[in-house]
Amino acid sequence: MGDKKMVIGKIAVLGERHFTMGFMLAGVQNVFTVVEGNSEQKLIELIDSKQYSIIYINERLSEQMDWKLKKRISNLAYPVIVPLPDIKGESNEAANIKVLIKRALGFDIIAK
Amino acid sequence: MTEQSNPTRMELLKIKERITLATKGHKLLKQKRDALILEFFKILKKSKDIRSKLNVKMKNAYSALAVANAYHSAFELEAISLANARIMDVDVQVKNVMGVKIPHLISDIETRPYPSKGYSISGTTSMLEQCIEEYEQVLDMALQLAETEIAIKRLISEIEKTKRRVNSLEFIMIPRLDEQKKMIAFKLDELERDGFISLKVIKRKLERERGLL
Repeated sequence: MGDKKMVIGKIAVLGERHFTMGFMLAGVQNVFTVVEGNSEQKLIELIDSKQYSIIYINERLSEQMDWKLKKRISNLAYPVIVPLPDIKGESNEAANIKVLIKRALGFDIIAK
Repeated sequence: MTEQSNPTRMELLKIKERITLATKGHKLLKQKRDALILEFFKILKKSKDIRSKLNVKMKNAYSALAVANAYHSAFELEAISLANARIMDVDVQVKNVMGVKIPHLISDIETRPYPSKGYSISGTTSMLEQCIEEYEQVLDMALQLAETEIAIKRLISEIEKTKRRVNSLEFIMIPRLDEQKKMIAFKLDELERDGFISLKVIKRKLERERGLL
């Protein structure tokens, strides 16, 4: 298991203005501000450009996406697409993972 | 559903071979599953709190941004962010665990001291400073999150697949093959007995004829 590949890529942030602004301030160069409706198209564009290794996306946007695209994202090896919580600071992503774990292992190990 | 096969010795040998192969595969897959689960728990431990920490952090960051937004105009913020922009490359090393590709992300995002930030502090407020700091921390955490979460997702899906394979081998493939083997062995035995009996009958007949002569 010694094969280690190195890929160098950039960070991209995709979301509405209130989501992207902070990342812009922190110094992320590749920030893509979208208005509601064309986020899917932009995301596909970003994936296909193969320049980015991580794409942060507003979780609300990623949840609204078409299931086909969602499926594609979940099967994708590269780039890494990470949904980050929206302004409310809540996230369903942890719950999603919980469901996955439960399905695979047969019991819920995160629950205490 | 049992496959219909000819009751020949050839077929029996083939099925025996398939059974040994299936058991071998089953054993290997079981080991793979165990190894994956082991790796999974390792990563799970690491990632347990990152998500919840990040949620809190992002909430703080959002409110810091809101405050900064109140002190500076949107135009100003944009100008500052352009000045502060820098290249952020992420190296993705791919580690291979039992055929699952797990990314290891390495990045050189560091919080920079003032002189090297691209804007002047005389023109900005401490709220903005606070906001930028928060977001830099968010970036750092998000990177860790990305790594562990992706690893978990991939491991989970692979575990599921492997588990399914193990189970189908254990509960369907191997019993079915066993059944077939039994069937063929039985039929072969039957044929043998049949042959044996007919030989005896012939022998008896022959003897009777000889006795008559």
